[in-house]
Amino acid sequence: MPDIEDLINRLEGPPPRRTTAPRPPRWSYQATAAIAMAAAVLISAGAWLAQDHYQAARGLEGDYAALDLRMVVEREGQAYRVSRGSTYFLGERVFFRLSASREQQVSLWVVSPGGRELITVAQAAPTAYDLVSAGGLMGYEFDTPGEHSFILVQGDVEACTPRICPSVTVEVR
Amino acid sequence: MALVQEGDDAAYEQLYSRWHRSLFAFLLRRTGSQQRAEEALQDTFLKLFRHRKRYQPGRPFKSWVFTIAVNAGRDAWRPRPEIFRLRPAAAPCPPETKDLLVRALHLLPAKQRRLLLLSAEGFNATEIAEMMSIKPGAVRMRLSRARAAVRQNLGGLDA
Repeated sequence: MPDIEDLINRLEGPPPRRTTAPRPPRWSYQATAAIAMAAAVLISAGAWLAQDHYQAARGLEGDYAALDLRMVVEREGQAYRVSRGSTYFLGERVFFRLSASREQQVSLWVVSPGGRELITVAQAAPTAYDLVSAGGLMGYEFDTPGEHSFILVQGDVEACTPRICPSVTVEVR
Repeated sequence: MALVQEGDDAAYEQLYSRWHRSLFAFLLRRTGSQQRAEEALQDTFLKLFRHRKRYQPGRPFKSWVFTIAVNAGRDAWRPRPEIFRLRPAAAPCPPETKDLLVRALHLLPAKQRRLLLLSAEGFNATEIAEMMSIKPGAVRMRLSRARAAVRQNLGGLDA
């Protein structure tokens, strides 16, 4: 029987598909304030929309396209709607579905006690689609307890350009 | 790493370029899935950047980054042996060795699997103990159990 560690070292797989380092977040305090204000306005406006099994949030239409952000959480291999006010736990992972009233470049951000982080820049269209990376469905794993706000912004800017951006806020323990 | 701590983007890119392949190989064996390994790799580097100020320059960088990687992401529910190949060695193994080894690794409790994979990366019991916050004696005992369990699952390959 060969040495186990030697055998493990001979176990090879495909190379990683990503060749550049994931970008750390770059946010400004103004953007934080704008998002906090936008989130507050959004919540008071009751703009939360639940569709399918996703928790949905929709940005208001004006000079900008209306954006939809829906989320599910993975628990023991099953997908459950992310419900506003519910509690989620460290290690759990959420997934995203996006759409826009017209084709748009959008940025998905998360603001958590761990900081502000760009999850991805994507192209949204009227047909809702699940956010994917090269490796499959793109998820966000909770690794910090506290409030997490997921915010969908038009373009690739760090600030919430329209007055209202769709966002989903959950508490993580 | 000192430049990364000062927020140097180019140094961060270089660090990724230097380490991402070995970390990915480790994460692939740990998670058993390319998708999960890629997510864990991304998680590792984002955490590395986020917590870069916590790195103590006197400490071996490999231990520090593998401590992040060993806890990043999640393991697959079912490993995918088909994505692996077994690099040939002087003493050839039966063709089924690769599949049996992947499955044997994933039959181990997660902590034992992580210890064994860190040992395969060349970390000794003292280093692993520090990385996993357990006593060196416990590392040796769990490693011994893990090797025995893998050997048992590879048992059919004994000459």
